[in-house]
Amino acid sequence: MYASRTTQFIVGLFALLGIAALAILSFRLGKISILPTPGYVIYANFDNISGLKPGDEVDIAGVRIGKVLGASLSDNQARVAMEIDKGVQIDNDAIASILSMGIIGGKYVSIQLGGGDKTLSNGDIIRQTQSAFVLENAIGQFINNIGQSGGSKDSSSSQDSQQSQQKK
Amino acid sequence: MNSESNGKQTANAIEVRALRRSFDHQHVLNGVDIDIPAGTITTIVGPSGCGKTVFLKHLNLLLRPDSGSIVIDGVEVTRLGARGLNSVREKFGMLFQAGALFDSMSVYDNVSFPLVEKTRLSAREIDERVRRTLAAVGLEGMGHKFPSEMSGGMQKRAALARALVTQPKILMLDEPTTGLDPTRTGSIHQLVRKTQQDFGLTAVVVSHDVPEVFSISDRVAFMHRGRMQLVGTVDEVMSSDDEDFKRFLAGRASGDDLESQVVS
Amino acid sequence: MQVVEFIERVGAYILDSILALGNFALFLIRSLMYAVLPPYKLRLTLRQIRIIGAESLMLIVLISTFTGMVLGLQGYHTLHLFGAEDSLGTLVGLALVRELGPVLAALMIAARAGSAMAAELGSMQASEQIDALTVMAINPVQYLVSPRMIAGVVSFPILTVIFNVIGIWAGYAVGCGLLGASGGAYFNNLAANMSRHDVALTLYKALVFGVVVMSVCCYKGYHAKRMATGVSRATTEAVVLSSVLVLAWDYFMGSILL
Repeated sequence: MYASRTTQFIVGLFALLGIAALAILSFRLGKISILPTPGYVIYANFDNISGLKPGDEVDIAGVRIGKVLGASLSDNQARVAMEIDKGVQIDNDAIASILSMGIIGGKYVSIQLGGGDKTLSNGDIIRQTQSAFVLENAIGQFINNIGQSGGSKDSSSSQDSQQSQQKK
Repeated sequence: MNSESNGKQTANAIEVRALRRSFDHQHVLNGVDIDIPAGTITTIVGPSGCGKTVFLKHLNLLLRPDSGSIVIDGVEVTRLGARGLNSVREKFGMLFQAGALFDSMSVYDNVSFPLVEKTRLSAREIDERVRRTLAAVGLEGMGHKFPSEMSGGMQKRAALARALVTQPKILMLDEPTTGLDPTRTGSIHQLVRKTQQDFGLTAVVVSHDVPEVFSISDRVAFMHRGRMQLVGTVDEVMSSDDEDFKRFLAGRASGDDLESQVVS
Repeated sequence: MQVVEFIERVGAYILDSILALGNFALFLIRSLMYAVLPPYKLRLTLRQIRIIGAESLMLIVLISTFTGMVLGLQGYHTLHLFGAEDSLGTLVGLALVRELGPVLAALMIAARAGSAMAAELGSMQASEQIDALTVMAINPVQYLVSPRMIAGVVSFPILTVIFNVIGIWAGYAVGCGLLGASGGAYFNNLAANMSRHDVALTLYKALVFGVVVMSVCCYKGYHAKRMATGVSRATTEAVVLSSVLVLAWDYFMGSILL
């Protein structure tokens, strides 16, 4: 009668195509995981994470190795949780910095490996961090410096103040 | 409960009393009273737009009346809910004006459709009944055709087969011969008469083919201005001196008839 | 006198509109109710999925390819002004997933399958085929409308997701293949910015649009007037009304859910 085998076959194929497309959209393009991701979580404290959002990239030397999970306030600093892919080793002397992609692009966390003797594992904290570069602050400072007779020492010290290295 | 022919010859399959229905303030049915005896062919004639089709559609409750009563086989049907309605409708077969065959299905599928959907007959029984019914209307071996591939007369026959296949007790025919030439009109009329006798049906025919249709009718009702103006045997009606009916027979239309509106 | 007549006419219009809306709501509820009540019309439903869904696939592929290419082209040139070409993937992907995919897919299906459906049901109404079903004690809503509603609810999300995926690749092909944005950044940025929420949104919208388009097209066809112009009128109204409702509904859903 009406629902011939052809119809059944075509509808089946159509449904399969839909499921495949949903899988591609979710897992290949969206990188959305349903299973708990096989990675570990490390933290880093920053003075300023302006513009960093959950889902932003974490990379080493430009290669994506994880993503930002979220940020919370701890001791007047932003504590950023990052999920790092399994198998990627980060030593305890590594430096985490927040950088921008282009001038108005999004922020991401870049990790520079150090020469530490220990490897970080789940729940550990990266000690050395470099905060987000806030364009408005930099322009403000630049204008200030020009006002104050433009000494080269001042401008270099202002760059230092952007860095808050926390060594213990 | 059921007053169906318990030996009494005068048992009525359908009794209609004071049936009224209006559309947009237009009184299409204006107090219809008629008894339709079981096992007869009753033909309803009248000028276009007098409400014949509307009346027919009230009998199987495709349309609901504003007031009045319809008793079918002793059951008052105008107040029935969906379930009761379905059991009443299963007594009816209806041939629509344009056939109303499902044009996405072949003739065979059209005729088997009510059996497949509404009965628990086995595939073999269904096949057997469909073939028998198609043969009865003279469409043997045409089952594979689609309605669009058939002539008007053949479509009417196929539609008749679909109406008959469920073995209804009451058959309603809405203009079974519109759009057919005189030869085919005659053959459809003979077919209706023959099936009515073979199956012992009660038939209600709405027709324009005056006076040809009278040859197959037991009783005739002349409908005028939303009422049954004349009801009786063919002879009674033909010999009546009702002015409106005479005018209808002679010229088929008078001034006020043309004013009346077509309501489908 | 004229004032009274005017007020009467406005009143009648408002009353008619309310009645029509109520009628439509009842139609929608009944068609959804009969979709979940037995007897199930599996064969009819499969057939409708084939007609509404599978046979719309080529159109969806075509439209999504061009939509993605246009987004890639215009997105690249605009982002290039700010040196933000790396965000092209995010732009194309989120525009498609959140808005253009569900909306354009719905409009295309309404134009292709919805119009055909309204015309089919309209001519069935005009030639008394729907009455014929009723006379056979077969519920025409359950037999004709519910399978189409289910088919819409199944087909719209599938076609929408396919639309999204093809559109994203078409945007990639133009933006990165022809114009020189970075391919790795395209997908990385998209992945970083597209969340589970966005995928759920695209599916949810498609589902709602499926119900909207199918119910409007079925309603218009089912209630076509038995006149020479009845069917064509029903078809036009079905496509126009369902398109308007899709766009309006999209705005409201966007403002509530985003």
